[in-house]
Amino acid sequence: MPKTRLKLKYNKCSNLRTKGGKEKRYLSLLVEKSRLTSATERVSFERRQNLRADYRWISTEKKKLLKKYLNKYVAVKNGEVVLADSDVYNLVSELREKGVEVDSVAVEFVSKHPCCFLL
Amino acid sequence: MQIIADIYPTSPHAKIIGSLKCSQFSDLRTLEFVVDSGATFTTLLPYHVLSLGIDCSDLSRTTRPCYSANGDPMYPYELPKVELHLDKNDGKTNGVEIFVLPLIHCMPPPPRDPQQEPQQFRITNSLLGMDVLKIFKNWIWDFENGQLHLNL
Repeated sequence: MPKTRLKLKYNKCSNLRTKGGKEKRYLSLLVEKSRLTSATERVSFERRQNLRADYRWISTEKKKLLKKYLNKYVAVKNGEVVLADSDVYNLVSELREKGVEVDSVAVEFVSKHPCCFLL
Repeated sequence: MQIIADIYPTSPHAKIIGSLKCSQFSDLRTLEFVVDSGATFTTLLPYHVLSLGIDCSDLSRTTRPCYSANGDPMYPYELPKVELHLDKNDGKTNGVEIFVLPLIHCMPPPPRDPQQEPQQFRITNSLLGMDVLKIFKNWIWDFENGQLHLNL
């Protein structure tokens, strides 16, 4: 059984809510785990790594994607386009119909114009 | 102890993959966030509300307005009791930082009317807000290597 180091830190959160006319201060909690203990955590860790790799793949293969999937949403898994659609609602429902877990694929809109934000 | 976010050549924003579980699902679901010091709270934007299958009809809206850049008040939904997992990098083991958050915000996609063409929306990453980011004391933007180092 691997030894797990748990470290707790309270992060003072400016999250104020009015409840019954009173303001309450909520605290968020940070738990540091130096090892992944459960199978769920390990699966989740792998999924994050795979998704990160797929978003990197989309970034490096942008030119190829532009030629083939311009103005479409592409769903990428393990460095492959598994589905493309111009309607994001259809894309999500088709992924579900195919039995693909939607959170395991990287989805991005392929456009010549980079997305600009005003946050 | 640090967390590393990626900066891709196509955008100067730093992005990070995280997993979350909440009162609506007990398994961990994965999504990409943009590191957003402009967001007070971590916020799920329309694509992730849709793809993670979050039902906003069960949620209450914020009682205090949230203001976007144009000054319009918005009242996003509050998703309570959220656990957010982010991979940490200590150079040795595969570890995880778990943030237990009392709530995060949700902005659902426009409702779909079967009689009409669905309103399309550009996929934007959900926002990793200051409720999480404020714990990191030191940020190093390494644009050359495409990484943002968030140090505790």
